[in-house]
Amino acid sequence: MLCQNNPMTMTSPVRLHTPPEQHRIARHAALLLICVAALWLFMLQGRVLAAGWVVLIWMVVTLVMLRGLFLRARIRRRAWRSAYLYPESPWNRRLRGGLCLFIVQLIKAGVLAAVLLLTVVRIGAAPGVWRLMLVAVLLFVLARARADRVFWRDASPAYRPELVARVGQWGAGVVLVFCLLLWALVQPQPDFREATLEQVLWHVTDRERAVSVAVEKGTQWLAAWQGLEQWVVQQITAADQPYWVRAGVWVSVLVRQSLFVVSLLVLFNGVLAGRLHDGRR
Amino acid sequence: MRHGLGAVVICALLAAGWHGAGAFQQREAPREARLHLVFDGTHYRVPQSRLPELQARSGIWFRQGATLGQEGLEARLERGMVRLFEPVENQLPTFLDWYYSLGGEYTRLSGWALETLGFEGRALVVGRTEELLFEETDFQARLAALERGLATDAGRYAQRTLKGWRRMMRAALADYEVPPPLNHSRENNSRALDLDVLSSGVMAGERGRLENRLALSGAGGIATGALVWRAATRAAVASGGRAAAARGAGRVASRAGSAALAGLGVCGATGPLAIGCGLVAGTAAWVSIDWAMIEADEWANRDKLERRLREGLDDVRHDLKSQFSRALKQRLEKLNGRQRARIRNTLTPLETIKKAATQGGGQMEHG
Repeated sequence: MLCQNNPMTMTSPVRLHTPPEQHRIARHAALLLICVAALWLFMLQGRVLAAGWVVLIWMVVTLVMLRGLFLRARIRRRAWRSAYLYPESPWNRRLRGGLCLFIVQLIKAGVLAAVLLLTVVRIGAAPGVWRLMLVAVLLFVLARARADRVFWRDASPAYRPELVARVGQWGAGVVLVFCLLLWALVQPQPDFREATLEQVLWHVTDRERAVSVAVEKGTQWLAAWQGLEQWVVQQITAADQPYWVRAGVWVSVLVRQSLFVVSLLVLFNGVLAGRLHDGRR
Repeated sequence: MRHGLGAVVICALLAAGWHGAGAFQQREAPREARLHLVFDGTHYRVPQSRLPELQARSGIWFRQGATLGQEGLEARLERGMVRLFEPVENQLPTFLDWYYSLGGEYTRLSGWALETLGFEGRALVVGRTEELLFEETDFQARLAALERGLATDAGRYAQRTLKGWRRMMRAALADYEVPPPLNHSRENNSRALDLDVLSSGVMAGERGRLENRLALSGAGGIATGALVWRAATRAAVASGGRAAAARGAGRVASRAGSAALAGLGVCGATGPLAIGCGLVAGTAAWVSIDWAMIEADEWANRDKLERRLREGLDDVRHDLKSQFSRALKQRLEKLNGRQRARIRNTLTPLETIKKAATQGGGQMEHG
C-alpha cells in the first residue's frame, strides 16, 4: 500500500531523454565561476564599503542561500512526511513546511552568509585560497553531474535534487576542508611563544579595519578566533603537552574552516537550486 | 559544438580567475595616523588629532607649575630672610656699644686721619662693622645654607611639577593604552617614542645642577659691611660726613687743649718729673675727656645712628632678596621651560614627522 499511489515512489511523467545534469555542467560552472568572481570583487572592496552596501550584499547572499536551503528543507520534509504520515493525514499539509521552516532556514542562511562574507574579506587577495575556490567550483559541478547520472534512474525524482545537492556538497566539501587544513599546516605563523593572550588578541584584531562597523567587528572576531588557536598551539607545544591536547586545537581549526566551506557550498547550491529537478517541486 | 563552446568558455574563465587571483590588492580602510608612545613602561597609541591638545595641556601645566613654585619659593625666601637678618639686627646694640666706646672712637679718628691723609680710612670702620655684625653672627655660612636650601626647593618644585604632569598624562592617555608590541622583550621597538626618557633624562641631568647654588651675583661673598654703611649714609652722606669731620677735628683740638690744662693743674712739680707727671696726668685727662665726649655723642646720636644702620640693613636685605628672587625665577623658568620645549617638540605632529623622516624608522603609524 505504501508503494501504491505514493508520490515518492510513483514513476514520474518525465521524458526518458531529459538531459541529465551532465549536460548542464558548463552552464552551472559558468554560473558558479561568476559567483566566485562576485565574491572576489566584494573582497577587494569589502573593507571600504559603507555599511549600507555591506548590508545589501549580505541580504542578497542570504536570499540566494535561503533559496537553496528552503527548497532542500522542504524536499527533506516531504520525504519525512511520506515516511511517517499517511497521505490522507491532515498533518501532511500542516507539516508541509511553511513560515517556521522559512524562518529557521532564513536564520541559517543569514549566519552562513555573514560567515562567508567576513571570511572572504579576511582571506584578502591571497591567491592560494581563491584558486582553491575555483577548483571547488569544478569539483562541485562534476560531483553533482556524476550524482545526477548515478541517481537518474534509481532515485525518486522528488528527492533526487536533495541527493544531488548533498553529494555535490560533501564531495567538494571534504576535499576543500582537507586542502584548507593542509594549507593552515604549512602556512608560516607569527611567533606568539613569548606573548600574552591579551597581546596576541589585541595585535591580531588591530590589523582588522573596515569602514563598516559590522565588517570590522566581524573580521576582528574571526581574527581573534584564529589568533587564539595559534597562541594555544604554540603555548601547548612550548609546554610539551600531550598530542591529544594539540589535536583539540586542530578541531577548532577544522570547525572554522568547515564553516567557511559549508557556507560557500550552500551558496553554490543556492545559485543552482531549482536546476536539478524535472519540473515538479 | 555547444559543449565544446561551453568548455572553452569555462576554461577561459578558469584561466582568468587563476592568473587574476593575486593581481589586485585589497583596498585598506583609511586609518588616522597615530603616534606610538611609551610612558611609565606602558604603551599607548595616540591619534594624531589629540597631540596638539596634549601638547597644550603640558605647556599649561608647566607654566602653572612654575608660577606656583615661584610663589612657594617667595614665601620661603621671605621667611629665610627674616631668619637670616634677625641675629644681625640683634647684634646692632653690641656694635653701637663698640662704636660709642674708646676703641670705636679711636678707630673712627684713625680712619678720619687716614682719610685726611688720602688713604682709605673708612675701611677701618667698615671692617669692624663687618666683623661685629656679620662675622660674629656667621652670616655668610647661613646665607650659603639659605641659598642651597632655596636651590633644593626649586628643584623639588620642578620635580613636583613633573610628577603632576606625569599623572596628568597617564590619565589623559588612559583611553589609548595598548598591550606592548609582540616580541618587545627581545628587540626594542624603534617606532615607539619613549616619554620616560624625555622626562626622567632631563631631570637626572638637572638634578645635579639643582643641588648647586643659585649662582647669585657675588656668590663668593657679599660685602655686607660696606653695603650697610653705604645704605645707612646714603641719605645723610653730605651733612653726616662734614659733621663727622668737624666732630673729629673738634674733638682732637678740644681734647688736646683740655688735656694740657688738666695736666698742668694736676702736676705742680717742675723739671723732668714734671714732664713725666704732666704726660701721665695729661693722658689720663685726655682719656677722661674723651670718654665724656663719647658719652655725650652717644646720648645725642645713638638712636639716629641705630635707625640709619637698621635702614641700611633693610636695604641690604631687600637687595639680597631681589637677587634671590630673580635667580629662583630664572632657575624655575629654565627647568620648566626646557621640559615644555622638549614635550612640544615631541608631541607636535610636524616635528614628529620630521624626526621620523630623519630617523628612517618612522614613529607615526598608519594602521
